[in-house]
Amino acid sequence: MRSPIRSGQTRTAGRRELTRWPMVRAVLRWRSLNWILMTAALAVLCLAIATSLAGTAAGSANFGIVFVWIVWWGLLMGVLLPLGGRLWCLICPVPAPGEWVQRGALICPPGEDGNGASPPAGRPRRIGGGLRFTLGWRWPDRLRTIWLQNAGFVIVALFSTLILTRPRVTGWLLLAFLVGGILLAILYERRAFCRYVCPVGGFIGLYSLTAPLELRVRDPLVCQDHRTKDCYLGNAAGYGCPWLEQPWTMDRNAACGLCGECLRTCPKDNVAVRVRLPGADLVVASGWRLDEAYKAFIMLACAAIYPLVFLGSWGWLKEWANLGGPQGFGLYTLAFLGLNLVVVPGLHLGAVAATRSVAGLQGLPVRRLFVALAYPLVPLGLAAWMAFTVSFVFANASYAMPVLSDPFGWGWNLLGTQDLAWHPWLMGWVPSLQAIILIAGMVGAIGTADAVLRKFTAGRAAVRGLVMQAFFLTGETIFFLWLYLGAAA
Amino acid sequence: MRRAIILAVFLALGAVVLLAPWPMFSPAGGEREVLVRARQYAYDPGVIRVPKGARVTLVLESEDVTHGLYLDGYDIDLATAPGRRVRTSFVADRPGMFRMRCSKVCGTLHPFMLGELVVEPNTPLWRSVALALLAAAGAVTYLAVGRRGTRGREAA
Amino acid sequence: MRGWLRGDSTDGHRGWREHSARLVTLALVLGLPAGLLAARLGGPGSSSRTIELVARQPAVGGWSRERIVVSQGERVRLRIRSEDVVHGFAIGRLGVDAGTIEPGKPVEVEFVADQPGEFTFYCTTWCDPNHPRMRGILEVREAGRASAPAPPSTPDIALRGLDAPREASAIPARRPSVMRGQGLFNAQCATCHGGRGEGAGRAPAIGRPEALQDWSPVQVFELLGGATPTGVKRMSSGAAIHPQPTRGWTDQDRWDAVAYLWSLGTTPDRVDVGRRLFSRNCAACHGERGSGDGPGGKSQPKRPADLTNARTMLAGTGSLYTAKIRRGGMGTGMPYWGNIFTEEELAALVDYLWTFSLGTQD
Repeated sequence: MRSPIRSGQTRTAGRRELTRWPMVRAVLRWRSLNWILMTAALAVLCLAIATSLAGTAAGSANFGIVFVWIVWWGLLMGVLLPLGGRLWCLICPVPAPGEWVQRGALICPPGEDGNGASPPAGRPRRIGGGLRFTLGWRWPDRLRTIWLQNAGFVIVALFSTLILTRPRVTGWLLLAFLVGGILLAILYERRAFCRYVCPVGGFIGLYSLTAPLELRVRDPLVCQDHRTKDCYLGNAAGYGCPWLEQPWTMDRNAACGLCGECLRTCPKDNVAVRVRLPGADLVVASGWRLDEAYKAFIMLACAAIYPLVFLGSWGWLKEWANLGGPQGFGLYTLAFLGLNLVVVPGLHLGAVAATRSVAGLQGLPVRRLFVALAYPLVPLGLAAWMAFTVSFVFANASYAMPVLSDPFGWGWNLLGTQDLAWHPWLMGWVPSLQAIILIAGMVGAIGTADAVLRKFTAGRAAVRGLVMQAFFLTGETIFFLWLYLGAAA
Repeated sequence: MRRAIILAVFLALGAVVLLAPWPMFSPAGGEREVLVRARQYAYDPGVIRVPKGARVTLVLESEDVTHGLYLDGYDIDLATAPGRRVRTSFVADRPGMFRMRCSKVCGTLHPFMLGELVVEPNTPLWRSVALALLAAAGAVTYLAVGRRGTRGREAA
Repeated sequence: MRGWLRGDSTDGHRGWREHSARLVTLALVLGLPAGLLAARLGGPGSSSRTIELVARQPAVGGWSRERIVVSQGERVRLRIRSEDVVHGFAIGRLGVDAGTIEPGKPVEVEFVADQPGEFTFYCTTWCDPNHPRMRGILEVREAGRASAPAPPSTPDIALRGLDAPREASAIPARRPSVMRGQGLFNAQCATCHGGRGEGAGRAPAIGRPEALQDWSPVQVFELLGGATPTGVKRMSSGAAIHPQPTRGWTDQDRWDAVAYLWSLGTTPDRVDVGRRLFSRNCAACHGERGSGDGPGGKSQPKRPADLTNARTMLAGTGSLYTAKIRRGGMGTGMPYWGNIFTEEELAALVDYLWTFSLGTQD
């Protein structure tokens, strides 16, 4: 049976293919690349865990806190995510030990006894995808959504005051991630942890839809006639897609971790990495789902709560968020969950209802428009998070140098930088930078809203709908501008 | 062609919003002395408003442990322990909202111990808001105008 | 063989690439933290006799060690680090001062313990309502002894009446002026007592620091007016009435002269030392201006004394205040400073204290 070609796959105009250059292809197909990147990251992660658990309780002098919540978060939100989508997943060390155990190898491919062929006597039979040492349980169908990741993110965000400031808490959290990743790799198939459990994966999957980088098959027609589907099942040269993605139908970035296995396994050399204009995947209608819509709401709500709690001048609110008393934290939890799960989606519902009526879309089910119009919130949410990140990264990045010399905070001076004083960087530029980012995100959001509406209607009705959407999106942007450039009191 | 004109018009308007001089609605200058009390983990007052051009004297006092006060944008740094007031003076010649940050580690929530100094009128905020409105109007106009017929750009 | 050289895996065998990768990974992942931890045990700062001291707010532990024992003549190196807020470290009577200790920036201090005895190390920056209790003992033992000699005792700690209420019979209407007092003294008193109160013949040397230690300002005020001072205080000659009381002087004149007399017994440098000691050790409770309204005082059992209150302060003597500071407050929250301040420091501090009520700093 031939697989249908999706509309998202045929849109290649204006996209430049990077893998046309032999150097790029060679580097991306180099098996050792993944190992080098992940091992370096794993070393940093282990150091972070060690320093968080054993080092000083003063967060600003602890390698774990500084390099995870300032350096890594800054790189992720400021560079990797806007420019590369899920590029972090290529480097991420959390699944690395588990994947190495699954494959029984750090670098080398399954080899000739991989995938289906009877293994030589005495060797264990390989499980799907070329894997060896895993029970390979199938991930339950009901959990093949990002709801788990939504819940995980909300919980981590709720306790973030504690996590960001107590090295011990960060240490245990990172250790739990690492152990959880290994455990799930031994029990379940491939990178089920990454795809369905990791809270970070939840939001970088959604935000990767805006990225200017993509990995797709070059010509879906070639895949239509290809029977063995090596990219999913694996072969001697590589493993089947660890992300449980089917490259021949892939039309969005959301679940592709850019690991490059399909580049190595495809016998037709039909896989390409391309650059394109940002935001292209947001309007791929086949991917519009309620769980992703909720992720967009959660990220937007948190992007508003974080500056209020962390950057605001209200000490009592910080105390509430800091578990300073059961009533305070109880109220904070209620407000936090309410905003994330009820208020922001509720406001969105209002905006959708208004748009629906002015655009004459009363024939369309509300839910369909509710989900579709959540996607314009993605560029705006990303911009809001980038603005937040700019604020605290510029202010606190100077902690990175001393902490490299004295990771545990015990008075060492390995590189001679231990006594460098804290000094915020370029704080005078931060408000302008934040304004530019937020306005750019707003323009992207309006553009996305236009593209979404034009899937349902056209002409004057579409314009009216767009004006209504722009009204709400501009209002939200002005709210964020007030949060970052205005005084909250 | 129509779209190019729209783009040019809105860009020009944007430049006007960014660069046009802003009128002062209230008297500028003057002298302000503000006593700022620092405690874990907030300043009191949390928000200070001064008119542009005023000579501001910040007096820092701590209520519980050693705290600091760093002012974004003006690069001012004070620090003190309970029982000692320190002060500094500067002219608030840059408008906008500037955060006060604690510059001496004072406990777990130290990186989030923040206050705000607003030098009024807060022209960066108003200009940004105006730019946002302009950009929204420009985007909507650009997208609405210049389409051929009713066909969208991609097949649904 | 060729497959092995290429590094590939063929027939399930692993090439050199895979094996070296496994080595490197293991080395990095386990080796990095382990290596760093091993360095801690045997590396910089772990050489002989670096004693580590961790400072925390008293509510969560205070100093990590209550007692440090060293031998006389030993070169002691302390590494002090803070885990929460800014602390300070100093050792009383030894002149060891590490300054402030910021979290994440450990401070090392080195000294030679050349005197035997028990010394108090204490936190010098207000860090907690129980900051005054953040102290420990440094024990310097003589060679061959199992314990250190006890700290010197001071007889005046047992001074009776240390806590008795005080009330001056008169207080100045305005802050006394040392300059005016100097003029008045030179005009009337210098002929007998000497230009700087150094004494001549039967007139005692009232300008020496120890001369007026047991006199309160109000007693001198009354004496100058020709009256018997409160408590029938007698001069060194045994008489209770001054042979040449001032005539034609107003009350304010007499207070000015008293202020000048008090300033004769000290120097601006000593007052400055006192000011710094006060700012570091006392201002948190007693307030920057001495009015007893410091933030630290809010958590003490009793409100700190108002050192600007002339009614109470002018009725006390230098010896009384020295004794009070030494002994501490017996449950009021005023700490015991006896084993921390040297005699010179106490004298400087009391000299500074007088400036709050008597204005001797002008």
